[in-house]
Amino acid sequence: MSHLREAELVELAAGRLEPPARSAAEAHVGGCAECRARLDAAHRAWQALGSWEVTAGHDLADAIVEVAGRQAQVPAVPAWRRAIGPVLRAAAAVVLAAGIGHVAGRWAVPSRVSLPPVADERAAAEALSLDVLALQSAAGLAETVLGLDGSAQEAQQ
Amino acid sequence: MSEEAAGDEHLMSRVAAGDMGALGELVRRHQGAVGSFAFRMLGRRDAADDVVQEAFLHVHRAARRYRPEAKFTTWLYSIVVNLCRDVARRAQRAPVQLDDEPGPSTASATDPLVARERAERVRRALGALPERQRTAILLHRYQELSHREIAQATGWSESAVESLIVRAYATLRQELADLKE
Repeated sequence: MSHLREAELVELAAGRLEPPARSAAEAHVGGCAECRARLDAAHRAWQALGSWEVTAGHDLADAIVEVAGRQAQVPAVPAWRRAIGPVLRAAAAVVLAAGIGHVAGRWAVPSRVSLPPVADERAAAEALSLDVLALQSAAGLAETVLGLDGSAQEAQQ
Repeated sequence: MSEEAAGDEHLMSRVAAGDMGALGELVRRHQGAVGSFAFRMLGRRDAADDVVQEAFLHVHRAARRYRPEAKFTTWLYSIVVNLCRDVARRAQRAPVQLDDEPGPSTASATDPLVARERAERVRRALGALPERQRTAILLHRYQELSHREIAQATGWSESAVESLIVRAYATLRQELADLKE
């Protein structure tokens, strides 16, 4: 038989190895000085650990029963409320975020946007040869129409 | 199933039916064992008492859902182990002074001072182990749980438990080698 595994040694020292395995292990230890020495060391450690005894704590039975009784009287939260709890929390978070975004947006953007003077707009468009833009501006469109009308009047004269 | 285990199952069925006397009986049966485990894990009597109370309140709340797939004590230890881990994690963030209670002297020791010193050496050696090794060794040595029961109580595999126990005992053999019987 090969040497005892550490786990077997611990169980043998603890006296918890079940009979078939125990008799085989004891037979091996009887003829193996190395495993006998290991078992002695394991046994000493096992005994040493037994030195630390712990005094019994207070009897908590009455206190626990009393607290448990009080907890049992508190109506439990219904399962359906527990289930929709996360959904409600998520919905509240969305509404809160939307509200904050709305208020912050109103606060950040000026209520009246000051547009550049039309003349500047037109001059910039002409400088860039953007006739189309000039046409699209209200002033450009009016002048174009008036210009056309002027050309027509000149032709009639 | 042992007579005590069958008694635990019966008490649990009574607790589920609202019998608070059965809860008290369960507490009286097991508070000593789980309390000493919690004390050895946490090193503080008040913290151990809190764990015991919270564990049995959990037992009470879960009584209707309880199914005896494992021994009651194994299930109880799984609750206690988790509570001790929570307390230990909180204590890491806010370290506390351990109670000066290495335990009473052993019956075989003639000199109480020597016995007290031995107990203190053991406590320090166990306290120096990594948390998983300490948990496994305490459940194995003092609570007499098998590897399988420790695996069920901790959620670790049986092979992991065996490995933790072997490493822990190897360390303890070295640390306590000079202690005389």
